[in-house]
Amino acid sequence: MTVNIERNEEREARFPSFKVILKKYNLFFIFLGFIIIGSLLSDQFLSVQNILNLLQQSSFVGIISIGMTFVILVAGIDLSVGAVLALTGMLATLMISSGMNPAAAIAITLVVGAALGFVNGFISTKFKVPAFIATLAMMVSARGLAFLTTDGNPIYDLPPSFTALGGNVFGKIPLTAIIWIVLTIVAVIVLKYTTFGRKIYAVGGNAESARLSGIPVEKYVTWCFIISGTLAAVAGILMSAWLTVGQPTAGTGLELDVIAAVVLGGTSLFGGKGSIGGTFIGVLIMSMIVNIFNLLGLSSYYQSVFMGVIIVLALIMNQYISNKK
Amino acid sequence: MSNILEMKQVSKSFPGVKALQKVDFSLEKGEVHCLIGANGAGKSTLMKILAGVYTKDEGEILLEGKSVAIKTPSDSKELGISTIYQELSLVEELTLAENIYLGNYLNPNGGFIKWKQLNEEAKKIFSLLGLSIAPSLQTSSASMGLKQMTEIAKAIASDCKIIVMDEPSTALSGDEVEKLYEVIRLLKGKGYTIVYISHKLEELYAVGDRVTVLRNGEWVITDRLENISQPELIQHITGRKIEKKEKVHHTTHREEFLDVKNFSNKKIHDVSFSVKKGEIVGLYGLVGSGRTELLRAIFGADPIDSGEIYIDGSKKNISSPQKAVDHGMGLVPENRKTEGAILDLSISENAFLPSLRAYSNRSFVKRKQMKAVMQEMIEKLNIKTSSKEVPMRNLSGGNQQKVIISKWLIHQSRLLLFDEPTQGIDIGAKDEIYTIMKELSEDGKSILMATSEIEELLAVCDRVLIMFNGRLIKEFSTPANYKSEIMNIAVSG
Ligand SMILES: Nc1ncnc2c1ncn2[C@@H]1O[C@H](COP(=O)(O)OP(=O)(O)OP(=O)(O)O)[C@@H](O)[C@H]1O
Ligand SMILES: [Mg+2]
Repeated sequence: MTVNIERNEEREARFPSFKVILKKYNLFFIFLGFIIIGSLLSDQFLSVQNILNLLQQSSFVGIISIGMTFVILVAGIDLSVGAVLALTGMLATLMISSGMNPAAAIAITLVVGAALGFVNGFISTKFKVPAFIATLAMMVSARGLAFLTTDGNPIYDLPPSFTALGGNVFGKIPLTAIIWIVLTIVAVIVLKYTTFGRKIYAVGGNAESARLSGIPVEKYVTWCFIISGTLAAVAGILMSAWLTVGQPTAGTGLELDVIAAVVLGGTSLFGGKGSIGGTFIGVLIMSMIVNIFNLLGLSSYYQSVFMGVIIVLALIMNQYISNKK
Repeated sequence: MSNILEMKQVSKSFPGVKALQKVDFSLEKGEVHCLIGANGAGKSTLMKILAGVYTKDEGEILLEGKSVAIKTPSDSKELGISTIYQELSLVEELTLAENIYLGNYLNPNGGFIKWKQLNEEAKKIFSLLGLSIAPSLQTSSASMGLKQMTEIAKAIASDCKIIVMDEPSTALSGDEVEKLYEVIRLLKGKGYTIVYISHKLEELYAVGDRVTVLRNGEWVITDRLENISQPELIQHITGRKIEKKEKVHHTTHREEFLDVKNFSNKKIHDVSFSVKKGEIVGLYGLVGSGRTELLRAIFGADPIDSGEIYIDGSKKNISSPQKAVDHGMGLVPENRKTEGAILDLSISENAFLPSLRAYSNRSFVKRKQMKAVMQEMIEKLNIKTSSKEVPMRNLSGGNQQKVIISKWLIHQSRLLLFDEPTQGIDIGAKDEIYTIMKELSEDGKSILMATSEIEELLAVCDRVLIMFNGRLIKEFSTPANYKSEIMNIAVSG
């Protein structure tokens, strides 16, 4: 008796057709589209300086988006990243401006970021509070704490040994961008090639079967929040070094940019589907839109309006391409 | 033979339900032990206790003579017990190989995945099962049969001695079931002990050594299958005798209700047919022949590229399920867990979902009236539940299916589209559903039913349409006389 259990999909998987490629890399084509539009609208767009600026501007959102991708992959959400960025930025600059060794201050700040992420994860998994609410509460409290550290005043007087983190290396390459790219590569490897990463997909794709396969689901979800908190702290430290000032208002509303970039990058809010590579491109597309507007000298009000429209259009197109067989 | 496993006097209650009462269950080494009983009898619960999903209230579990405590799924795995749940539980986004090794990725200490080794090992397990399959295939694009095989491969990979299969044949086509038998025999030959749960009695005789029957959470009998006949089994399951009812043919000519003309989309090609008022039409064909797709297209759930649909003689544009429901159609979909039921809503919320308008007055729902109707349905379909407000999730699989059917009975649909309506439904309830179908048809309601069970097809259908590769290839108006032709044409086209 013949069994048609083995089906054609297998063959297709080995020899992808053009349509399959288009479907798989559609985001990349959208990305290319923006590059072409940008270079047509402004001849500075593809200049080395502009590209470096673009990377610099993307890096904060980019670093946080990595953590957010982990969280969204397990079907969570982290609204607290902007506030955690502000709080950790204040904390680091406060310690450093009062004379602490920057390296020690940075280490402490990272631990605090991780701890805040842990609290998010713990509350949402142990007490079954939806991540949306748990991190919303964290967002409000962390922002409050950021203001409390100095009664709302910014912190200046940062030593050059610290602000150098926000500067350039090898001439004009921004260090924050390098850190972002390195972290992206690490995250790609973790998600794709380690058991930890694959279990995150399993937990997000089908929590129940992951649990029944003996994967401690809550632990993995909590780890994702810890990663998100830690990376928000990394961004907080880098941003205050770049601005050479600790600002309690830093990163207000940033969480929405981050979530938009991750979703634009093809990660499903339902969990289990998505990639860091996609997120990377998502972040770049968002910054390119801002960049093109700046080069054209249009006001930021237009920017906001168009950003919303373009995100929706890009997602619709993405959906359209991936539904077309 | 020695008992590898013994469950003694096991009891388990859920709020409002005694799911198991002092049940004894034992497995001899190397046997295929069938576990049967009506929907809600407690089969899945007993096996979930063994799997560490639920903890027992009372009783003892002995593994190879030693008392063991099973508190979590991992405990059960470590003891060498592997469970394939009634609801398949693979992660669709991962590859088959990843699913097989989901627990530990061949790498208990974590760290990097050895993709090559992972795929090679998975391939070895597949070939052990007599299958040559690329383990790097993404699970979402695998057929049901392949998914079931992957579940079995996953069980073997976990290095187990006992494999529990909870209704493994439910969503499989005829030849996939044959393949399943083959694999089970092969595993038995290799010394695995297997628990096989099914509602299809022929299957038990095909693969089983012994059988245990549960009824209402209580143990009824355990015996060798050769000592017990099918009618006796039915009597043990239901607690009463069921007589096979002969189909009464109502040949009265009636008007057409549904007329489908030249329906085409990606999965179906130029399909035309009609269904008369009060007629029960069967759709038969292999899995993948387009039956489900045809039903979904008629219901407006999938778009059509071309074609026309006439209801009661007038042309209708059914572009969404909402329109289909407004025109008096109801669909009982193939996959109850993902399409049919909203698991976190209560039974009555599920059942009244399409009928809220009829049961409300200026947007306020008529609770009292709904309660009475729901009670009627619970009795009519024999739905086993402690209350109408229980979430769907807590019902046994077969009882969920009954609630989904009740949804369209309440809605008083004039055309019911059934996709494998009796999957996972016990013998007693099946007969009840056939009776209901006949009542509906006497009432002038029409039924279009896709089924893989030839006996069911012959028992209830007035007319049978056969699909092959998305086309309607043949029609039989007295199907009972053409059993073998129907089966042959469905396979060979
Ligand atoms: N999590 C739960 N909460 C409450 N009640 C439950 C739960 N799980 C099962 N039950 C109840 O326990 C009883 C036994 O259910 P079980 O799933 O074991 O039946 P089954 O024999 O497997 O039936 P089926 O053939 O329909 O799959 C049913 O009445 C069911 O409603
Ligand atoms: Mg069951």
